[in-house]
Amino acid sequence: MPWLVRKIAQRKWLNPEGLPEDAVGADPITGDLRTGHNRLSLWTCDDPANDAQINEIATALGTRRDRADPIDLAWVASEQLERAGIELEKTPGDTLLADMAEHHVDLIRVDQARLSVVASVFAHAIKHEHRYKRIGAKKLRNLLATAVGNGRFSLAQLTEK
Amino acid sequence: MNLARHWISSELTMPDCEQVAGLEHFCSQDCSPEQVSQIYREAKKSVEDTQAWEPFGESMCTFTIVASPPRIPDPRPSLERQVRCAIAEEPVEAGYSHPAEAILAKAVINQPREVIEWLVHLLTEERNYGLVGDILACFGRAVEKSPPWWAYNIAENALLSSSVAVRDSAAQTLELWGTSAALRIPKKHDESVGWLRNYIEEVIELLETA
Repeated sequence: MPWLVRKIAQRKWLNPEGLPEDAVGADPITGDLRTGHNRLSLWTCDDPANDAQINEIATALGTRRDRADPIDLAWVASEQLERAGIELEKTPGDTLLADMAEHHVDLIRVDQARLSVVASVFAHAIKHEHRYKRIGAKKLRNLLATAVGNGRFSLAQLTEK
Repeated sequence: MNLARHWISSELTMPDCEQVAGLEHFCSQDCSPEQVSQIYREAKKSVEDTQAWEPFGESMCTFTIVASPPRIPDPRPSLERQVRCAIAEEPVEAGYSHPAEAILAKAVINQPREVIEWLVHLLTEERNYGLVGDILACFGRAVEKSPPWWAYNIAENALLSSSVAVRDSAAQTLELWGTSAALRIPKKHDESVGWLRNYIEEVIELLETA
């Protein structure tokens, strides 16, 4: 699992309101890196430069939303986090795509210092390495429709209003 | 802020001050009590000048200018408070419906004028741009199925904002509406931020096939 992918709001990382552009605002940390039980959910990916793989993650996330709004994704090398002593645990992802559920890990035992490291790593990847992508609403709908068409999940399972 | 208009309307015992030529011009602004008094004097003169004074008779000639206007309930603060509270309680997140959408959807039907005035006020005066972007997103979702004509003007103004958050929200709203009527807005926009420019180009392509 060389790459770890997280859903973000890219404007909060790239253009923090009221802060210099090189700053990491509090909003993306408290919002995009929101933890639960001191864990942070991330998707795994071999090659994020491959659109198909990123689209798969967007689709996996899209199955658990109630609206098909654009999805912003960002990715970092897993070794960057592991080098900083952050532990990863393989866990099933929350998605209707059964074959994607296994492409998921939790960062575990995340404390304030480790979260700060995660934030810095993501900020660098987004701001300086352009490791982010937006999947628009229309494209997401098409991806979901294709997944339904391929029998990967049923329309009835979606909760979109 | 409609305080001046309501106050003048009440003082002059007019059923609808907008029917009086010249009055609306003086009243569509946020006012201090001193400004209200000044507006009142100007409005009175304007009404007299346009011969609209006569139908209202003596009652209009006997008013007294008071130091501060009476507090007359305005529906807009209630709408504003409801939406702000809803967003404070629960962050607006892409992919998930938000309670503020229902509040705005109801207001668009019942008090469209107040919604317009408030959104315009937000876009011109509010400096918490993240909040403006969130409110705009909820508004866009609230009218998603059938955006009224004026909603496009709101989105157009939002796309002119100095804030990336507001412009991004406007672009997402235009994609959400997905109507050919929205096409002219992103097409004439010159976006300076690279990633947002790329997204807006995608939105234009999408709208061109709508």
